[in-house]
Amino acid sequence: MKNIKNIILVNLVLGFLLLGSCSESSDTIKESQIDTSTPILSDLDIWLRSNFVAPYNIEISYLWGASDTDIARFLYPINENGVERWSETIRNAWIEPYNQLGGHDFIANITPRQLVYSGGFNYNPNSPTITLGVAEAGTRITFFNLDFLDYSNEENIRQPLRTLHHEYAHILNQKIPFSDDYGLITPGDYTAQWFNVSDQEALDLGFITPYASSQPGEDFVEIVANMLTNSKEGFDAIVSTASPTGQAYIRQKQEIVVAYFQENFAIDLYELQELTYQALLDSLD
Amino acid sequence: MKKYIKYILSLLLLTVVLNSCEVDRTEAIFEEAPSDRIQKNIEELRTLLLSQSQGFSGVYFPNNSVVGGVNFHMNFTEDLRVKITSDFKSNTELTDTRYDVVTGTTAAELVFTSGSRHITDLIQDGAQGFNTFYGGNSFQYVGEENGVITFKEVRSDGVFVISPSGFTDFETESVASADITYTNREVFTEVDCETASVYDNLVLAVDNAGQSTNYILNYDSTNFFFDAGTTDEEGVSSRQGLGVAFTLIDGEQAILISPALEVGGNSFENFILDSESDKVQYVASVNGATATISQTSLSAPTGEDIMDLPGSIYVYDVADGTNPLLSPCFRDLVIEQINTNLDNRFGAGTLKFSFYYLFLNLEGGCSNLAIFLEDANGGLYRANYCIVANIESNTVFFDYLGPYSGSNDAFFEENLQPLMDFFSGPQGLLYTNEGSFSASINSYLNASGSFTSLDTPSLRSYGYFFP
Repeated sequence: MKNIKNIILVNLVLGFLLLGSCSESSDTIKESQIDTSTPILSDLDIWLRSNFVAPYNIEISYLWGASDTDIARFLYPINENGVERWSETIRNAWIEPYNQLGGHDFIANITPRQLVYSGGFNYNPNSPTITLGVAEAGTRITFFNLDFLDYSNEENIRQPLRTLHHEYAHILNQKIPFSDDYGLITPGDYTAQWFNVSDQEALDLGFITPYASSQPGEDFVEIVANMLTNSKEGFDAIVSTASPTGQAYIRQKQEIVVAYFQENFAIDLYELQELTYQALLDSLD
Repeated sequence: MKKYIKYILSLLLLTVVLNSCEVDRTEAIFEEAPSDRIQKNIEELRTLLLSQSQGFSGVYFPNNSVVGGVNFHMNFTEDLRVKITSDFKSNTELTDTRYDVVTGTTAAELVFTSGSRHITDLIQDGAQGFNTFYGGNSFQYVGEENGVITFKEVRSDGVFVISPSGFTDFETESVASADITYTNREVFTEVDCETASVYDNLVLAVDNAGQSTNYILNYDSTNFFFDAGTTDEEGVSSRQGLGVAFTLIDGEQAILISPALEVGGNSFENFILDSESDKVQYVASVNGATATISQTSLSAPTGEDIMDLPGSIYVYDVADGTNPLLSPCFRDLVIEQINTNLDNRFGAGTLKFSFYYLFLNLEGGCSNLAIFLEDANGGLYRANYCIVANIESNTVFFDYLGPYSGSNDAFFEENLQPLMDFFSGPQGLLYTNEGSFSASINSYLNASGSFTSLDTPSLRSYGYFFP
């Protein structure tokens, strides 16, 4: 028994010596290893914080590197000279109209948390198409080709606003799905080859745009996007160029879309249309 | 029994003690924690970038397997702004945009975070449709040596090397330097179409202790790129691509090529303009060996390939892009002249040349030269003309007989005459097989060939065949 005690004692002494020799290389945490210093803010950064982060909880991401996006695509950030005007445009033509009709915090409650501004085009590989915008998981919307905005041209500004309303309608759909009945109006004409469908062919088949013919989810948000970037008369004029059958289909879809907004968000889509389209006009030179 | 308990206790205690050291042995390899090392790397790069009050100059080769290099001048300031100019395009005015030094995947990265056109034009020229020069806006910090900072662009493996500018007034001298190098780049593209010949080739001649090696250089002025071909003593041909940058080295006009050309154990990279020569030539000297780039007259091909045509339908399509074999004079004097004729008659941009098909008939009948014009909405208009081929001494002669069929033929004939004149010159055309078709926008497996006018040897059309 005495021998056992001696062995334990010797081992403990040896152990303390060895542990002591290890202690020099252990890493003691003295301060945070994460860079928590305040970033350098430009006047533009401060303006964005005051006008988007504080009131709407939306971050505008306009400074970024290749690794922040799809590295397989040749994308680049917006020229900073265009940031403020585009931000004002979307505030006036998207945020304020929704807040006015849906409630003061409508956008703050249901919103993408980050808007990413890309200057160049997003060309799709192996396809004769470009991606106008991307909505990811309801939290982030990326706009492309913002360096090429021409505020003297209504159609030129309509396009990215259409992208915004399109992507935001996806986010609303993610919060509250629309009725499956929508997809049953023109079930047989959805196609993955939508880019081979002309504008007129799409209208005649009952789709407001060729992209709407890609799948019901896109069809729904394309109705929203095109209503909110045109006047009522302008939208009706587009629909009137469709075949009688196509017009009937589009009107059926429009009814479901209008009811969706009224029943789920208490928003009169026609009233919203007036506000968003007027803001589009006001944004022009 | 006690004996066994003693051994077991001893072993258990030793195992516990020794295992407790394992993690520390691994940690001992580095003196600092990973996050500290990265932060140190970032601080090192930030300090370097801010160390030069007159900024940096350097050449960026975005992807030296397909395009050449661009001169950049950049001046970084503490408020994360950077003034940039480059010679990629004629507008060399400075831009004032943002940058940052951030944590990359394995090292610090310099990121041009807001869109300076000097950077973004290399990434994507959206105004010209999808047209990239393979550039990027994020650059991994590789290291610094004697003031020279090396970066690597992740996506295209581009290399960006900068060093202190040496300017005394960055604002003016950087732009002046970019203007000079932009202008110097024109030296290989300014051609007098009346006197030039496609057989006046750029040649890179290496003289290594009396042993000479010649490379024929096809220069692609759009992409600043040499396609260098050579044939060894045994008649084996080989080709390699060389990115080109017209730059200044110690104030002297120079050409920098990437990758360096390796010949006889020597590596040629920097070619300095020989100001004493009576012709434009750039010389690189390494270990007593010299390499010279200059315009040299080469003998014309025999033309015997006309007897071995790889197909019967020959196509040239503007939409495929450029190739050094398509001579700039052919574009200017034939295609652009047709477009000018169309503009004058129908209004600017109403119609433009799109492509032509030559349905070859070497048996004595009409070869149909079908020319396609495109309107502003993408609509195509076709006009057909009859040219009759006759081959003598490996030279092909076409007689132009006039409109072939259809109402468009006579209607457009006068406007399209430059192409008929190209084919029907009295001294004929030399034809050469050129391998698979390759151009800046589209490349195909189809066999290609070129027709060179012997009346105006600066005119050469390059196209591909359908069998």
